Formats: sequence, C-alpha cells, structure tokens
Amino acid sequence: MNERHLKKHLYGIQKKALLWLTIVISVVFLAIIAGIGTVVIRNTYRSMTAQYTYVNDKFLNSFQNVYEELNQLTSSYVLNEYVQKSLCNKTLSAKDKVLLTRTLFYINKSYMDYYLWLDNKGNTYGQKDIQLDLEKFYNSRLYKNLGKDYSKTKLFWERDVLFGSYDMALFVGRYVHQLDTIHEPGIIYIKLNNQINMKFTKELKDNSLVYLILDNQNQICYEQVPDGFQWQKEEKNNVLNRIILESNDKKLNQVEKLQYGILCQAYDKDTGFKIITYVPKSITWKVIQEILFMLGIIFFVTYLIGICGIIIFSRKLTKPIKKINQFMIEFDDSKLNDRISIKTNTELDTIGESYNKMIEKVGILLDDIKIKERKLRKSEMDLLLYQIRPHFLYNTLDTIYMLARIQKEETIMKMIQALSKFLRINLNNGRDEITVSKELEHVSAYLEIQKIRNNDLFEYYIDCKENLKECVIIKMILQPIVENCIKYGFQDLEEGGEIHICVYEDEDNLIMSVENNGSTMEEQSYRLLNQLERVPIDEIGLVMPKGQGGFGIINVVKRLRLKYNNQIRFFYIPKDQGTECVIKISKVFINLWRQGEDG
Amino acid sequence: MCYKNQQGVYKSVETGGRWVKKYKILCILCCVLLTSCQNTSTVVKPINEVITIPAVFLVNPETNQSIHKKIVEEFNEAYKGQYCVEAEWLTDTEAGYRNKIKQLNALDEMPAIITDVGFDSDFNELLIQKERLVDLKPYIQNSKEWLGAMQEDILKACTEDDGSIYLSSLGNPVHSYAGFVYNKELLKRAGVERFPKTWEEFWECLDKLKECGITPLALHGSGTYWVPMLIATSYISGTPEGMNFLKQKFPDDYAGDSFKQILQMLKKLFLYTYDDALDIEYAQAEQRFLNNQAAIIANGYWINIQMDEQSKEKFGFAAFPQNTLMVSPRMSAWAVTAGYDKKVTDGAVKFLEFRVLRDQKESQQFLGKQKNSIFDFEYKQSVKEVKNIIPNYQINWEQKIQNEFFTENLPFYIRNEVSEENILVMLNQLVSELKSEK
Repeated sequence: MNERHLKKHLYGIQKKALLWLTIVISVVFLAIIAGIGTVVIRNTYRSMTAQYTYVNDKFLNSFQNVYEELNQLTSSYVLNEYVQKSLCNKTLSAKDKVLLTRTLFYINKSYMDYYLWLDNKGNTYGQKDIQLDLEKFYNSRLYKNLGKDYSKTKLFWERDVLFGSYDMALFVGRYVHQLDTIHEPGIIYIKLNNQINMKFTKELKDNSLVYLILDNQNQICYEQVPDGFQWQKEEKNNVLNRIILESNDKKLNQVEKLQYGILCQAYDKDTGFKIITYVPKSITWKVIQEILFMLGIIFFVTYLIGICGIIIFSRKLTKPIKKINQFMIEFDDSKLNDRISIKTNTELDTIGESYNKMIEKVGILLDDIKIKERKLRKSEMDLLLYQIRPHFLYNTLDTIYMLARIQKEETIMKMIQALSKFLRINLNNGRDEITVSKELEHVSAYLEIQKIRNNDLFEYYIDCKENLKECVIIKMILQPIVENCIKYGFQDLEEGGEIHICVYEDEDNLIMSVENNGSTMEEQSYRLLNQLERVPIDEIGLVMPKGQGGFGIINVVKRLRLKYNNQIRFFYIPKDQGTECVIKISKVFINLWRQGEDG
Repeated sequence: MCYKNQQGVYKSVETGGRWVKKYKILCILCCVLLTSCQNTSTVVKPINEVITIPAVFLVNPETNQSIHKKIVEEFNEAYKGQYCVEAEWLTDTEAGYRNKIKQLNALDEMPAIITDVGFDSDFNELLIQKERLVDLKPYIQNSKEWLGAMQEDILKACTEDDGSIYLSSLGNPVHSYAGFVYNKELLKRAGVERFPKTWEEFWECLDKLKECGITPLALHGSGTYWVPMLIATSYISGTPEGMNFLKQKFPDDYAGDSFKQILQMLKKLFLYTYDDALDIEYAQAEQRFLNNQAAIIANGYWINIQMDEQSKEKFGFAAFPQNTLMVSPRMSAWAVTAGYDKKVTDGAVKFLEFRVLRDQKESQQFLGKQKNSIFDFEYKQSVKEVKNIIPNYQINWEQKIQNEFFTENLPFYIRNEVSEENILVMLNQLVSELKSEK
C-alpha cells in the first residue's frame, strides 16, 4: 500500500486517535507484561523457594521429632534400673535378668524391628538369641558409627549384620553409662522397620515433590518420589552433587535453583543426616505457567476493554466533529438558514455556535453583496448614461448661457455657470476622488445655485489652507452637509444666514468643518447623528428613524468609513446660534494616497 | 526568503517536536514501569548473637525460691547482649537435684553449669575420668582477678592430683561455715540466756526447751539426714578418733566407735524434735525452724537468705559445742560441663568467675560491715573465734549410704526397731559391695 493509499485509509481524527492510542496502549501493555512477567517469574520462584524451604523445614522438623522420639526411647533404656544394674560389676541375678529381659520387651514400638542390649560384660539381651563375636563387632561399622560421643543417640544407615538379615536398614544406637560410678558403657541397638518412614513424611501433604533423607555418608536412606516421576538423565547426580557435606549450623536450611528444579536441603547437626526436598522443574513451570496464563488472560481482557473504550471514546469525541465536517461539506447557498446543533459540553459546542454565527454573517454579507452588486450595476448604467449625456448637457447649458448673456440675464448666467460647474465636478469623469479645492469648488457651485433659489437667504464663506487644497479626498462630502444647513438650519430664517466652511489640519488629521448660524440642531437629532461614526457599518442605516431623513448624511459617513477604514471622525456640535459639523480624516490615508498618486 | 520556505522548515520542526514529545512520554512510561518492577533490596544488619548458657538450679520446694536466682539475674544484667544464663529451675531436694544431674550425664544432656558437684566424690570422679568436665585451670590462671580472689588452701583443695581444676569453689569460706542457728526468743522463754558452749549445756538447754513445751530441734529423716548428721558428726569431732573418722575418704568400716557414737547421738537427738521428724524433708524442717516451731537447727550461714531483716534480729548463730564449725571448700564447688560449643563454655566459665568475684565483693562488704544484725554479728564472732574446723561428712562418705541407706534404715534404728549392731552390719555389707563395684 503506497503512502497515498495509507493516508487515505487513515483519514480522519477518529482513525488517527485510534491508531495512536492503540499503539501507545499496546506498547504500554507490552512493557507492563514484560516487566510484570519478569517480576512475577522472579517472585514466583522466590515464593516457591520460600514455600519449599518451609516444606523442607517441616520435613526436617518431622525428622527431628522422629529423632527426638528415638532419643526418648533410648533414654528409657539408659535410665532403666535393670539396664543400670547390668552395668555394675556384680553379675545380674537370675531374677534381675528375667526382669531386665521383660522390661526391654515391654519397651516396644511399632517401628522397632529388633532391639539388642549389649552390656559392658559382653552379655546380650534381645528378641533374638544373638551370639556376638565381640572382636568382629568392635571392628564393624555398626560399632564405629557410635563414634566418640558420650551417650548421644546415633542414627545410621547400615547393613544388618547384627540381626542377620543383611539388608540395609536404619539403626539407632547409644552408649549406656552407669549413673553413679565409673564403668565401661553398654550399647543399645534398635533396628527400625519401614514404619518409621511414614513418620518422616506424615506431616507433609504435598505428594508432588521428591523427599530424600541422606545419612552422614550421603547414602540415600529414604526416598519418596511422586507417582509417575522419573529422574531425568544426570538430574539425580546433579542433586546429589549439591549436597552439603557438613555444617555447624544446627538448623541449616539451604535452597538453590538447579538446572532441573529447586533443591531445598537441611542439615541436622545431631545426626549428620541431610533432609532434602526436591521440586522438579515440571512442578515449578506448571505453577509459573498457570500464573502467566492467568496474567495473560487478565491483560488480554483489559487490553480488549481498553481498545473498545478507545473506539467508543474516539467515536463519541469525533462524532460532533464529523457532524460539523459533514455540515460544512454539504453547505451551499440553499442552506444559509440551516443551523448546526452540538451539545457535548466541550469546546466543540463553541465551535458549533461560532459556525452558526459565521453562517448567519455570511448570509447577511451575501445579502449585502447582492444589494451592492445591484447598486453597482445601476451605477454602471447611470455612469454610462452620464457618459452619453454630459456633452449634450454641457452644450445645452452653454447655449442657455449664451442666450442669457445676449439678453443680459445676469442671474440666469450666474446660475447656469454654477450648475455647469456643479455637474462637471459631480460627474468628475466617473472618478470617486477629487482634490479639496475641487470639493470646495463643487460645494461653492451648489451654494451659489441655492443662494439664487433662496433669494439671498444666506451668505457663505470658504476658508482653506493653501497646503491642503491639493489633498485628495472622496467627492461630495460637503454638499449633503451644506444642503442640511440650508434645509433645516435656515428653515426659520428670512435673511442673514451664514455658512462657514473651513478646511484645516491638526497633527494627525485633515479637518473640515461646516458651521451655520441658523437654528440649533435638536439634541435627539445630533445624538443620533453622532452615533454614525461608531455603530457597525452594517447597522448604520438603522440609526436614523424612518421618515426623519438624514440619508445624505448617512451616505457621507458610510462612504467616509468605508474609504478610510473607519479612521475618521464625524460629529455635530450644537452652538448657541447654529450648529457645527466636523469631519476628521486621518492624514495617514490622505498622505498614503497622495504618495500613491505621486508614485 | 521565503516566507514559504521558512514556514516549511518551521512546520517540519514542529512535526519533529511532536514526535519527540510522543517518544518522551513513551520513554518516561517505560522508565516508570521498569522502576516499579525493580525490587528494593534490603540490607540486613548483623545481629549480635547472645550466647545462651544452659544451667539447672535447685528450688526449695517449701519456699519455692532458689538461693541462686539473684546471681543469675545479676550475671544476665552484667553481660546483657553477650551471655544469658538460661536456667532450668528444678524444684526438688538436694539429693533429687544431684540424682537429676547424674541422669542428665548418662543421657549426655547435662547443662553447661552444674552445682553440688563436690558432694559426690564418686560421681565427681566419674565426670573427670570420662572427661565430662572442663578444666578450669587455664581460665583461672589467665584471670588475675579470679586467681586473686581464691584463697590458696581452697584452690589447693579443688586441684586434682594431675593439677587440673574441675571444681570452682567460692574463693573464701566466709559464707560457708555451718554451726547452730537458734531462736533467741524461744531460748529466752526457756530461761536460756546464752547458747550452750559444751555438750552438757546443750542437753540441759534442750531439756529446758522441752519442759517449756518448745520443740528444741528442727530435724528431718527423709532425704539425707543432713541436719541431725551435722550435729552428730560435730559431736564426734571432739575426739581424735572421731576427727580421724570424719577425715577418712570413703571409710571401709563404719562399725567403729565413732559411727556408733553418731548413731547413739542421732537416736538421742530425735528425742528432742517433733514426732513426724523422721518423715519430713530438710526443707520442711528448715521452714518449721524459721516459723518458730523449733528452737535450734544445725545449718550454714546460707540459711540467712530465707530470713528477712527482722528475723535476723531474732535468730542467733553459734558454733557447735567445743567451739567447732563445719566447712569444706568443695561444698560450694560448681563446674562447667564439657561438650558445648566454645562460646558457651567460655560463657559458663565467665559465670563461675562472676560468682567467685561477686562472693569476694560480698565477703569484703560483709566483713567490713559495722552495723550488723544479731545473726550476722554472732556468725562473724563464731567464725572469728572458731577453734575446730570439721570436714563435711557428705563429701567423704558414699552417696549411696547417705542417700539410700540412711533413708531406708535409720528410721527403724531410731524407732528401736533395728539394733545398732544390725545397722552396722548392713552398713558394712553395703560398703564392701560398693568397694567391689569400684
């Protein structure tokens, strides 16, 4: 799939969000699974080693309990009155011998196979009539296993040469000393049968483990393996090679991870025996696999939930965006009155509302443009008409002027001349801008006509700084203002009206003022007119109530604001006698324009 | 230059920044995860191991108290964090205690510290021969304080023929003398102002007490006959024959005059005690004396541990008639048993040294004390003025005779159910049997 197709395929916020969040979540989940998996495996091993150390500890305790029981058993022999008597120099009486034999017989346990009491004079007492070759006996391992301890109970795994079965068996042996006086010790031997083995693992519930007991020569004297268990090749040797030979720690319990499993071993200092619990790898891996499997399922379900959550969330989030998008795609002139409705309690609501406002404004602007286009078309038509008419009109006016001159009609001459000037400047070859001097000439022509029409009702005065005369401004600004002066300012006058037109400048503006000495403008009127420079340009036509006129003024202000980008001032100042209208145009535009003109 | 180009570069940088931000977030996330996965390792500080020293001490079955409890507490406090004597408190008679030690020895389960070892010479010999005790000589010689605290004659008495020292006695006998302890009030009530100094006066005193309805002597038959035997042996020590008999180790013949005198004395003494005396143990006899139920008891200074300060003003101490006191260095001997880890053995030896030094300090304080109770004052006076020291018969006689023969046969003799001759025959028969065992 090439890049273009991929881009097309992944178009849309939802898909992008879905893709990225999925990638992020996947990476996070993978990292978590890897991290937790490692920790879980390590901790599981640690937990298992602790658990199996505990099991081995129990195994050791069981062994030590058995040893303690055997110790108690042999202690009862040691402290037995007749055993003690048999250690004295004096030979036992027949009665004492019977009593001794009987006493020994009564000290019986299920796990005892045979017992033998060998006193310090070579006499033997037991279930079997045993004739010992003492010389051979003292050279046998059975004797040597008793060691040099004074009277410790000894446990050893030896061949039974004593009772004649010649099988390997667990033996208990102990020196028995006379309590009061110095005598050679006697020896008590007990051969243990298989029932003792049950005691070793009686407390251990877990049958899936391997239990071993090794004697002080590292001979295996007890082995319990789970059903179906087979030692792997080298596995057993591997285990036996790791056996501790000796330790001074009375309850040494050591655990280590081997190639094939976990080895827990304890050393019993009293007997030198090693107690071993071996956990085959199949058991450890089974536990770890179960945990990892569970963990995997949990993570997978969580992952799926997460992905579903992302899909739902992104869908919910992008639904209004899609709605806006669709709305925009389908937008045309026929849907100017349609409105989008989004209620998500997010920023999207504002976008929707803003869009609706924008559509509304677009509608207004379109209407405006239509009106303007219509006006423009009309103007163009008018202009064409004007372009056809001027020569005819000027020639006609020149003919009227000649006739008036012939007949010496001064007033008509003056009026025709003013009208001709007014129309020439008015048309201005279709251009919108004229110089200040031309504008003043135009208003002057208009005033001349009005003056004749109104029978010298007023006089007018024009004052313009010389340097400002060549500044270019839009045409026909002053004429509507002057017209208003005559129409409303002088409506109550019969004569003596004055109009003062001044063009001057301050630091930033070109200023034009028109002042009359007629009636002062009503407060309501000048307040309304003074709003024209502030209100939105679209609403400028709504400022003056219908039927109150002022459209000429509105037209002037609107043109000024449009032309000079609202950088104008237009306001009326009521005077004690009359009203002054002030127009300020920012020099920035005047100058720029002039520069443009110059360039 | 291109605004467009600039914009393009800016745009690409912005895109790169967005990637960097994303990777940063991922990296931080991974770091957090890995950090959280790390295990915190804990450093286990090594803990100083307190060496536990096993011991078995006797508890008086009557008072349920042990005279050794204080020294154990003081030692454990002094060596806190290093050694701790963990005592098994055995409520039994002295004989019971000694028998228990023998059993523990036979079972190879002896505690590290044992007491009363000097009382049974045979057992003591057995322990030495079978290397069941630790030779304390190197320890004593290496400790100037310990060596300095030991009186030369006591050290000598505890030294074996081969120069080894297995028994650790107290360094001086200040607290080890035995004589008569008496109840001043009861004697006064019987009109006896001064404790008798001769045997004639002693019998007169007993008669007077008896006439007043006061039990004159606190004696016991069960056990070893220790109190009556103490009086009887002190009685025979007045003659050279008697003294020689007492000094003999394991006498071969008990049928001589000296032991006959002892037997007669015993019979006579039991006329001046309560009716059930033959059936009670030593601890009961001692308790009766301390409870004012009898006027006189033969005992050592150590009985003061059972007295409160008020009682010490009530009781007096006197030498046996003919200014005689009994003391034997081996009586106070304790020992350390072999077979323990060196650290435990060292701790046990330290305990014995502590005991000797503590006793030395207490002896000095005791001797230098100006304000004494009547009991202490009279004890000191008796020790100061003593002319004859007799050995403790317990150390020289066979334990079987003391522990078994006396208990089994003397009651019959005292109750006139067996004649003196028969007793002596039986006794000598036992002696010969014991000899043959050896």
